[in-house]
Amino acid sequence: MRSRSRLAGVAATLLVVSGILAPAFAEDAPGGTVTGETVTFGQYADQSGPNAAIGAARYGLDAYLQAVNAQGGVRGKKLRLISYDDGYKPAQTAALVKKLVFQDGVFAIVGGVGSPTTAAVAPALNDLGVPLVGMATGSPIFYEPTRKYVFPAWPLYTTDGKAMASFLKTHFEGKKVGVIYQDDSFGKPILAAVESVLGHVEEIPYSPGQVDFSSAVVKLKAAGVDALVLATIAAPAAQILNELPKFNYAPVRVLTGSACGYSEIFKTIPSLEGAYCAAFLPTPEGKDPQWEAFTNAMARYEPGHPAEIYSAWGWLAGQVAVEGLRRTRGPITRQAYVAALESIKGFHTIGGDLSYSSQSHRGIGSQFIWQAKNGRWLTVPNSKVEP
Amino acid sequence: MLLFARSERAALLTLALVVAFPIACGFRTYPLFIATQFAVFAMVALSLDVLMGRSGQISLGHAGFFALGAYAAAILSVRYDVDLLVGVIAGAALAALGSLIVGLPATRLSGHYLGIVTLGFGVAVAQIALKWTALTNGDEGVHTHAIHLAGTVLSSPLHVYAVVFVALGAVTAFVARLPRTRLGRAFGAVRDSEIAAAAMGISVARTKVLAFVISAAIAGGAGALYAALTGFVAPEDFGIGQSLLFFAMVVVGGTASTAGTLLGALVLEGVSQAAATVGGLSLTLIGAAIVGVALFRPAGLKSLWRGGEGSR
Repeated sequence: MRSRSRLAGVAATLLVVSGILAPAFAEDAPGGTVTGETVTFGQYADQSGPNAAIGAARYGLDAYLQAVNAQGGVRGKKLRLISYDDGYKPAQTAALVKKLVFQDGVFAIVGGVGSPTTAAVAPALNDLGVPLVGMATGSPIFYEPTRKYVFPAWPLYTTDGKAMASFLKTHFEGKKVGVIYQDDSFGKPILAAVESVLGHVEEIPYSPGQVDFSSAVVKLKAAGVDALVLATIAAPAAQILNELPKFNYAPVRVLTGSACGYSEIFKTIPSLEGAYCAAFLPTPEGKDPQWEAFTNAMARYEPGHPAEIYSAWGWLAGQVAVEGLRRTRGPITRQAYVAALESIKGFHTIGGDLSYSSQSHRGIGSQFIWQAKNGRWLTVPNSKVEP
Repeated sequence: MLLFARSERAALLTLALVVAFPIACGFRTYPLFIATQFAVFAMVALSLDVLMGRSGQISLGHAGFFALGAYAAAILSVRYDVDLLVGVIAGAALAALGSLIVGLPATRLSGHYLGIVTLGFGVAVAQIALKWTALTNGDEGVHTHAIHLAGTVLSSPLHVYAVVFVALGAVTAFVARLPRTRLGRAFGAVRDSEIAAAAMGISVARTKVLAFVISAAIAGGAGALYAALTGFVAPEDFGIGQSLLFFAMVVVGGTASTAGTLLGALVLEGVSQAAATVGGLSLTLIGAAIVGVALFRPAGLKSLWRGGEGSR
C-alpha cells in the first residue's frame, strides 16, 4: 500500500513540475497572414440550443461568401466559412473559438451569434489579435471601450429602445407605456433607453426561458397601460402577444427587431395586425435592392433556408468582413485588415450605412419602425431614428 | 508486469497516456483545452457517482454545485487576485455549504422526490447567478484574472492541463478507495438498505448528508478549476442541460465504477465536441449515445470489462 501511495505521489509531483517548468508554449494564433488562395472565416452560431432560430445567421453568411466567390472572390482569393454549433453555451463557444483559431487557422471570426457567447470570447480574441467582425449582438459591452480587434456592426440595443420610445412619444403622446423586458444584457439596455426618453414606465422583467406571461399581461392591463413595449426575443413576444386577445386587451404593441424577424411570424401570432417593430434591416416584403440580392442569393446557395431577418444578420456580417478585405492594401495581414476596416466610411450595407474609425467601432447607427399591415411588414414613413 | 495488479496496470497505463498526450498533440492549445475540460467534467461525474453509485441517492442539479465553485473562484480571482488553491478550497467550501440546503431534505426524501429537489436547486443557482448582477455580472459573466498557483502564473494550456489532471488523479484515487473506508462502507450500507444500516448503528441521516457534502465539495472544487480553465463564467453554462449531461456521464459509464464513470465522461465529452461541428445535431447525437448505451449496455460501459450486465 505504501509503495502505491509513493508511486502516485511521485507521478503527481512529476506531472506538476513538468507542467510548470515546461516552456510556456503559449501558442500564437496561426493564419495571421493570408498566403494561400483562400481566406477562411470562422463563426459560432447556435444550431441546436435555445436560440437555434437566430443561428440561421450561418446560412446568410455562407450565402454571401458564396455569392462573392461566384464573382471571382476578393483580390483573387476565394472565401470559405467554418461554422460551429455552440448550443448558446459560452464555455462551448470558448472551446470552439480555440478550435477555429488554433486548429483551423481562420483569419477572422465573423458573424458570431449571441451576447453571452460573444462575451466569453471577445476579450481573448482581442488579446490574441484575431479580428471579431459583425457579431449578432447590440449589447453595449462590445462597443465601449473600443477594442482594436472587435468590430460590432449592429446598432446598440439602446438605439432599439430609443427608436421605440421616440416613436411612441411622437405618434402616441399621452399613452401610458409599459415595458416587458428580458432581465439580462439584452432587455435591460432597451428598458433604460425607453426610460431615458419617456421617463418612468410600468416595467415587468422576465427570465430567459419563461413561457407563461398571463400574470404580466393582467398586471399591465390593470395598471391601465395602453402602449406596450416588448424588449424580448421571438418566443416570449409570440407568447405575450397571443395572450392579449384572451384578456380582451388591445394596447399599442412595439416589438424589437430580434422578435419580429422570422418568416412565419404572421402565422405564429394571428393578432399581429397593427403591431410595430423597431428594426435596422429592410422589411422582408419591401423593394429594397439589397434585400432582393440577399433573397436571390439565399434561393440559389441556401435553398431550404428562408431569406428572413436572422439569416440577413449573417449576410450583413459577410458584407462588413468582405468590405474590410477589399480595402486591405498589400499583404493580407490581420493588422492591415483592421486598418482597412477602420477606413470604412458610409458603406451601404443591407442594414444601413456603416462607418468605423480608429476611435469608434460603432457600426450602423440608425433604426426605423415597421408596421404589420395586411399580413406583411411595411416601413413607417419618417420613422428613422439616429442614436 | 506481474509486479502490479490489474487495476494498477490500468492506472499506470492511464498515467502514461496523460503524460504522453501533450507531447502527442504537439502542445497545441485546442486539444489540451478539450482534454482539460474532459478532466474537469470527469471530476464532477465522479463526485456525482459518490452520491448515485456509492450512497444510493440522486442529483439532477449537480451543475448547481459546479457553478457555486466556479463563481466563488472567479469572483475571488477578480476581486482579490487569490491563488488558485485558495479558489479551489473556497469553491469546494461554498458548494459544500450549498449542499446542506439539498442534503438536509435528502434525509427524508429519496428517488424521484429527491431528484426534483436537486433539480430545483440546480435551476435556482443558475437563476441567482443570472439575477444577482452586482456579484455575478449577470449574463455578461465574470472574466477571471490571470491564474496563479503557488506564485507561478499558469500562462499556458499545459500548466492548466498538468494541475487539473493531478486534481483528477487525486479525486479518482479518493473515490476509488472510498468503498474500502469506514465511511464508504456506511454509504454502501445506506444505499443497500436504510433499515439494515440503522440496525447496525449507522446514522442514516448523517451518512446521507455527508455524501452530499463530499460530493458537492468535489464538484465545487472542479468548478473552481473550470473557471481557471475557461477564464470566463456565465449562467448559461450551468443550466439543466449541463446537470443532465453530468447525470448521463455516470449512467452511461455505469454507477459505482470509477473507471466506468471516467469512460462515460470521456465518451460524452468526445461526442459533444465532435457533434458541435455538425450543425444542429449535437443534442441529437448526445441523445443517441445515451439511448444506445441504455439499450445495449444497460449497466453502462463498465459492463464492457466486467462482462454481461455488470454489478454494483
